[in-house]
Amino acid sequence: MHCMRVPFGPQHPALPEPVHFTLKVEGEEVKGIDMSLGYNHRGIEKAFQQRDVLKDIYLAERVCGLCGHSHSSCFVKGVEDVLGIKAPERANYIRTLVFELSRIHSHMLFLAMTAYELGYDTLFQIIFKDREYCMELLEEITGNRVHYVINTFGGVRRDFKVNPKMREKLEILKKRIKYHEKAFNSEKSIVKRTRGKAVLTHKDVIELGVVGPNARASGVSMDMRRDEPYFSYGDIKFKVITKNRGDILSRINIRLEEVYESLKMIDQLIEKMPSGKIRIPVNLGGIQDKEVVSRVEAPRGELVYYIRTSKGKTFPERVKIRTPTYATMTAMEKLLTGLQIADVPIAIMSIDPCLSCTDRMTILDLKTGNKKIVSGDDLRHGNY
Amino acid sequence: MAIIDFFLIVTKILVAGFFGFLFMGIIRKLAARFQNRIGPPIWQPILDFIKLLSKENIVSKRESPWTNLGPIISLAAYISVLFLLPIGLHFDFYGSVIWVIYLLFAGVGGYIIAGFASGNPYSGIGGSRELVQAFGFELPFIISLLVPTLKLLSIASSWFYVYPFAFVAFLIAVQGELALPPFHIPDAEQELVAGVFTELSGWRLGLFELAYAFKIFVLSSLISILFLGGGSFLAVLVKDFFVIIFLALIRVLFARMTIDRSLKFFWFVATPLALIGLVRVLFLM
Repeated sequence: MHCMRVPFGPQHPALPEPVHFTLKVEGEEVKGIDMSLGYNHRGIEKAFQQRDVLKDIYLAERVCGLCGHSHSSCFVKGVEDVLGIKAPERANYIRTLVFELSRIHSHMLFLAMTAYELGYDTLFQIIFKDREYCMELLEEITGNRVHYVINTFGGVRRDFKVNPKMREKLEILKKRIKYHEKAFNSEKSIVKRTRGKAVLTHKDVIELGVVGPNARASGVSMDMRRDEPYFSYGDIKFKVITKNRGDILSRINIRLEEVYESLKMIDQLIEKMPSGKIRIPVNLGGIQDKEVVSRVEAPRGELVYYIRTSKGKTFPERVKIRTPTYATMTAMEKLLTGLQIADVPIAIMSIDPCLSCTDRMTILDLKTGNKKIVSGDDLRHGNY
Repeated sequence: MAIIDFFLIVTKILVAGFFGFLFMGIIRKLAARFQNRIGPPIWQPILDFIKLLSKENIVSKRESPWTNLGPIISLAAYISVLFLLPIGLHFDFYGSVIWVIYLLFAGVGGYIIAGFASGNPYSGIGGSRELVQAFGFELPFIISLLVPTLKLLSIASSWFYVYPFAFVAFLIAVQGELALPPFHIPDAEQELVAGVFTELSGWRLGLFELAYAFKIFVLSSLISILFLGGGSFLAVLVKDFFVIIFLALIRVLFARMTIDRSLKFFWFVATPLALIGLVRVLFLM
């Protein structure tokens, strides 16, 4: 049969990220894919080197619109390791609190987008309405709705005061999440389209290096919060949720249950929050020759920052970011081959793609196999 | 006499087009309110249509000239059906139901031609889905359309409690024919961008919008006449409004089906219902 090549992205209403897929399609079935990345290279890592570490916090926060707090936490944690300082208890609790709230709002965005990809606009609208409670809470705590920028070296910028309205909103969120869990698992048109589709097995996950909720949905129990507790995760109780089937529905369910788990963690954090200082003074002059690798569990999985500093310089020598979605892109071919065209958008969405933050590209000469480095001037003038 | 006829014909087309657009607007507004949104004003489709007519018509290089035929066929088909409905000026003859079935499928044919001819892969898949979907909904549509009209084979008013099974099957088929959720498969924006309409702009897209307005008017009026008692032009319009509310409610309640599931649904759920209705009429009434 004739094989049709259907382009998918980088501009497509269902695709939030600049990535291009060429689907080789026979009838309605996908036989294979080609993928190209690198549409949105932002030069973030170079920009890190051109600012001092203090300004880099603001840059890190703006790497991603959804998990900005994870990026700045990861960077701040790394630089604090370089300086050899520890933030006060209370600051760590506040950081953890904001971290979990931002995980909730990121997961709820995922759930809403999934409903939208399934052609279920009503559920999409309802989840977005409920996500607003979470955004209001974040605004109340940090003063901002999207980029919180609450982290700073040696602590946080704002103190946290609990008020009864906050608890009320958390209770409402808990109820709503239970409701959405029921909606996703009992609505036949959703279950039929997601159960058993786009399966990643336990073996695939380990071979392809998938991280985060996508790995946990296939039964691989990995979670930075438990494996390498940072901030206050060591003080609170939570369970790492895993599912075994590895299909789209378990990827949805894992997020639903993680939101509920995060809400329970927030309750514990508010209850146990110690009193004391929220910030200690930091001397940036104490930077030494040092290399650190800092890892946190961002909403989409393990986020890694590699930071290298040199003595007496406040400008980092090198910052390398590895975002979780970039680790998952390797699994795309496994994920999409054999699906119907109708299931492709939901399969792509089910890994919660977020890669324009640090899109990267390599210029490779296909004939000789040589890699090439292009200077900024050449890029600007198109000589590559 | 001829001048008066001409005047009546033009009036009927204008009124039907206007209310068709209004119904489109009402569906959008109601769906928005059901989803906690404000939604566009109900006359938005009319403004869209006027805007589209004034826009440039972009023709892609890969396109064949047959694409232009698509919107014209659709529009002509749906306007023709308008004059077979027993409201206002109309033709009434033995066997007009056959014409209604034929012309409504010709309308879908316009979408299919435009889809296949416009040279975009999304449009091609949209066109093929349009065709597969038509195979699905035509079966229950035709059978349940025949149930209340079997005696004279022309459109005549009756009530849904006389033919309950055919009524349900007809509603399902109409939802499919209008490509409203859960059957918005041919132009599923998450999968096919805009399906058949992806490459179209300007007057061609405008004419398709106009054709859809006539389609929505014709199909909701068919429900009002065949199953809700019909009556004068005004009575039918009022009943249409209730049909539209019902369609909008179904629209917000369900997620999209995949094409194979919708085909199975039409054949194994809606068609048996319609057949039960037909058997009742043939042997029990």
